[in-house]
Amino acid sequence: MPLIETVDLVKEFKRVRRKDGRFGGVRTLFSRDFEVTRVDDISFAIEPGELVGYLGPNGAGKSTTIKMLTGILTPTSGHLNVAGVVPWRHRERNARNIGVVFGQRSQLWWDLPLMDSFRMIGRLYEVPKRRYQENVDRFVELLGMASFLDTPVRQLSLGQRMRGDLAAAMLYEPKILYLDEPTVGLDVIAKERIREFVDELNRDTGTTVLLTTHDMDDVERLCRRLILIDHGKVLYDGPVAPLKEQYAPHRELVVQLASDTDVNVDGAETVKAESGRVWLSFDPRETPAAQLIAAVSAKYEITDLSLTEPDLEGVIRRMYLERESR
Amino acid sequence: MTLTGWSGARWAFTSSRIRTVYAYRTDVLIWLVAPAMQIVLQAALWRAIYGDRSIVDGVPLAMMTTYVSLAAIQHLIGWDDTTDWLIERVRDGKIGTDMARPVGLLTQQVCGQVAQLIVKAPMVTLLLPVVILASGLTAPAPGALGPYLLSTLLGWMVNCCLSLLVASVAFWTLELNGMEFLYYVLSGFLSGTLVPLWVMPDWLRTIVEWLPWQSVVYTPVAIYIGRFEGARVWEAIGVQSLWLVLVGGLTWLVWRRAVHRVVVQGG
Repeated sequence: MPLIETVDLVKEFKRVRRKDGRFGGVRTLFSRDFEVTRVDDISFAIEPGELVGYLGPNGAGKSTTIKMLTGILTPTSGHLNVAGVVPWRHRERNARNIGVVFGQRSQLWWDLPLMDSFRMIGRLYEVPKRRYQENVDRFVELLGMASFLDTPVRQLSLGQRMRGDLAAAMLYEPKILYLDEPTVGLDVIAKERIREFVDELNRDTGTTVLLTTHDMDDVERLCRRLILIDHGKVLYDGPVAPLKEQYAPHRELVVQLASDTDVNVDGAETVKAESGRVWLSFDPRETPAAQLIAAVSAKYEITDLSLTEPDLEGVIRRMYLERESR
Repeated sequence: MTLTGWSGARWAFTSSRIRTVYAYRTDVLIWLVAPAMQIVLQAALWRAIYGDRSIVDGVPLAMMTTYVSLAAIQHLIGWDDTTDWLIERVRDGKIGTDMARPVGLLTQQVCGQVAQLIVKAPMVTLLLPVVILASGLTAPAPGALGPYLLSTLLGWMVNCCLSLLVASVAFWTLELNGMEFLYYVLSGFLSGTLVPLWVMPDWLRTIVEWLPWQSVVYTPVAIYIGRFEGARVWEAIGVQSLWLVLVGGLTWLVWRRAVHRVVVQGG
């Protein structure tokens, strides 16, 4: 049985257009001027222990979906089930099953030391004392937080705060972890640290993770499955590899030639040439890489070569562009 | 969920709010200084108004200064930042993380109000010498202390509900800029904090007596100074209880609707 299930999920927003000026708040209250946006017919099922990337361009409806899954928003129609609970109906029961990290905003107590936030959360979720201590100790070590435990959260760097947020979300060992852009704005090392933690968590404790991100490195490093949405609809749901094959079947062979000449071989197309370095695009289903390399080296003198895989970023970009032009 | 877990979770919210208040020490100091100034100035003002007379309209000067001083304290206890807090959380989207907690949003606000009461109670004790010096605080009317404390508690609870009602407007409008100030001024007047109800013209007093705000400040202080006596005391407390049930029920209903239509700002 899936742990997270959505069927034909729809969220329609009627957002009142804001009034400016004096008593704007009061006038807005009586205004009937609406803007409408929506999440349309989203259906997917996630099994326990999965680590799924939930992707889409800005405004695609990712965060709206996550907010419905956490019980913050009430869907307009459709079914929603998270670990046997309908989130918006039993918000408090749902809260015990899930951990949430929003990269853009913290769940920690802004004015209090990080350690105090942990203590609050321990009490809030009724974590037994010993369990709580073990978890805090483990997370402090795993995420390297010992040096800033007594610092008020508002004084932490973004990377430190994110680590604190992650630990806070997992202190009570929820079955499910929602990560909404957890690496946004972080440096390379901080990103890697977060990824490592999430990866370990998923593997060691079997925590089911739903990850929203714009960073394709996050996805390539962590996710085995992708759900791609745009304009509030699911575009793709499946493993990463077939997506690449479908949207970026071509690979590239980059060769460094001894002399600056044009390259002409069957089954490959020159994409770019620059002072003896030539980029060849080919479809591995028609022309295997080994065959192409043999063909090129038979005709030309090669000093160096490399093969590049299509990266996910390019794939996603192509998908979005293709959709936009349609 | 065990009972200790139940109370533990609520205490977690309450204590976090208490600590948040004390994280800004200057604010706490201002909270202490502002009502002290108000008490001193109001006592001086009423002394000047009375001039040579010792009784105006059957109200002795000491009774009047006691009234305004206690009313200021009562208002201080009731004045909490629930509205500000909620507006800020709604505006920057933090309300989302609040709602993903295992304790309901309304309960969290009530915990916040209890936290503020806990912070303010010792402050009131610190203010007492100021009150005694400035206004010559008279002793409570005979047998009035018990009913006064009960009435104060009821008044505080009615006020909590009223604040929550005002705050809930933020769910619909996403802000409250003009209204909050309007409410502050109106409630100061309607509750009898600025002037006691008996000074108001008849038509105005009749309106105010039919509104819930007089329960917050006027009723307890009137009991203290002996404006209400005998059966009138219990009648007034009965009216307060009725308001508590009415306003409390309304708050619960409004919040239930508000939470279902919450809009969380930002991505």
